[in-house]
Amino acid sequence: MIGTKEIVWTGPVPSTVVETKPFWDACNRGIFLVQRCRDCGETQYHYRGFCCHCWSDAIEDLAIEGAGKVWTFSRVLVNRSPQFAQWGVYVTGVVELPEGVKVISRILAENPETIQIGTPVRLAFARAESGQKIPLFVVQEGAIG
Amino acid sequence: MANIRLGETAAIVGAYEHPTRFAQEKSEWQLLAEASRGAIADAGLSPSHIDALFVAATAPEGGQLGICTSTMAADYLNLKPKFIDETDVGGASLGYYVNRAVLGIHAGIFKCALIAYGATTRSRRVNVGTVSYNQLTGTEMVPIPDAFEQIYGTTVIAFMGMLTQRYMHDTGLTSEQLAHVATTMREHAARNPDAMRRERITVDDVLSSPIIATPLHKLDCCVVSDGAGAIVVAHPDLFAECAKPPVWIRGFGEALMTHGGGKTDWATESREMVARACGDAYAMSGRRPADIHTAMIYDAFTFNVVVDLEGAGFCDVGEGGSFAAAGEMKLDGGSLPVNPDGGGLASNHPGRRGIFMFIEAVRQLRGEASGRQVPDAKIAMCTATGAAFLARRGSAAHILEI
Ligand SMILES: [Zn+2]
Repeated sequence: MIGTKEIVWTGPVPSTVVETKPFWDACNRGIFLVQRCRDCGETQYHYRGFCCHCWSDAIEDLAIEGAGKVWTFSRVLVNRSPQFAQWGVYVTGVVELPEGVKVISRILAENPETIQIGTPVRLAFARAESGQKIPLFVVQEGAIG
Repeated sequence: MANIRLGETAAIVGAYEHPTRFAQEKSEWQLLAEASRGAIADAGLSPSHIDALFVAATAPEGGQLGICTSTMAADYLNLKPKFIDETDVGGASLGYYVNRAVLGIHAGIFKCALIAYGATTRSRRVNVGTVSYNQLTGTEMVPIPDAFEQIYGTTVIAFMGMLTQRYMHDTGLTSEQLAHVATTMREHAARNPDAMRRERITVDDVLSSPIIATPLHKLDCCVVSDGAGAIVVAHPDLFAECAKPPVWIRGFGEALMTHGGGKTDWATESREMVARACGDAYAMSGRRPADIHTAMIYDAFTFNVVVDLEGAGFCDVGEGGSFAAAGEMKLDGGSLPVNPDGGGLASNHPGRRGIFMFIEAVRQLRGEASGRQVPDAKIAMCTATGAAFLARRGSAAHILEI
């Protein structure tokens, strides 16, 4: 069952720069960061060094609670890149967070065929061989009617 | 408000689509040159007339024309243009070049622009839609934004699948309606001797073709061809020297969409972006959707056609699918024949199809589209959306008249 044991990440590992390192370091502590601007109050994702809404530098980290809903998704049957060879059929999607942003991610489910727009999902982390934790979202068992 | 005089600035005076769809024995440079020669000959001009050059990169689709594209193409062609550009908005780039050519001619910088494209995507066996973006472009996954996106397996078709899925949810569009787009394009391609896929298909054929990324089937996706095409855009001073009547660029527009820091509604914004580009083209030309005799719609996927039909105002929001299913896009009996050449779904799509839409529009307006001529076509529209990685996309719209 997904969620009872550590999820192993076999895909590409993110490259980082100084600007994005805090995001990936937080992942290693089990925290997914979006950002909120102290000047305009808006949230943003992906992580970056300034507010894309008002161009202020006054942004602060905001750890998401972890709940989300599938905004859209695609079950990918054909990906010929060697980097994804071990994935087989997988679901990539956009998850809408109550924190006010949509996040591109991977969605894990015991029955991927039952994923729909609106399906509740929960933040989880997979562990790459390097030790880096990669955020993704998992369909909660029993969440699909 | 658009400057109405831009619509009296320039015209397409030459157009040529290379007949090849598989050119294993040629380089993409050679195809580009042959298409350029064809367009200049069609115009009745010579290479010495060309004083501006616009060439699309092919490297993002696995080709070899990468950086400094126009400069490298000018070197191969041995041209010395006083103006070059290689703005990159994926397959819509070619439409952006038309806009820049009109602006440059309007500003008095140059008088005769060559817009050219050539690619050997098929003979290089590039899996355009089914590999990760970084493999396609031969680049590393960069920290911003790839590390936040592409590590999750977002291929071109996976992205389009996500977009289509949401659009279906929002508007009631169905896979069966999308299949009608594919069958219509094959029906048209059957009348185009150069088209890559000319055999007829049924809605069931589309729906039973393998799923690549839900909800998109193999037959919802364009062909992957080798190909080349070019057009010549000229100032009226050159018309007297030209072999054929000018096809005026009466109106144009372009628009962008982005991820908006995670706020953008990809589905709605994809349509509204097309509407913004088309709105400017209508305003500049003084035309309305009802004035258009035939439309060239960039059909990398069946879904794109529905979005553009709705965005351009050819039907209401949510009715693009039923418009297609009712046969309104067909050469035979449709109210708005779309892509009489068979489009990217059936005729020609090496990666950046934009140029071929202008060429087919010119053939239609000149009455040269034998076997698939839209009767009395005098006003054509071209709409194209291209992508620069996921939902960072751009649309171009044009109204052409003879
Ligand atoms: Zn701000």
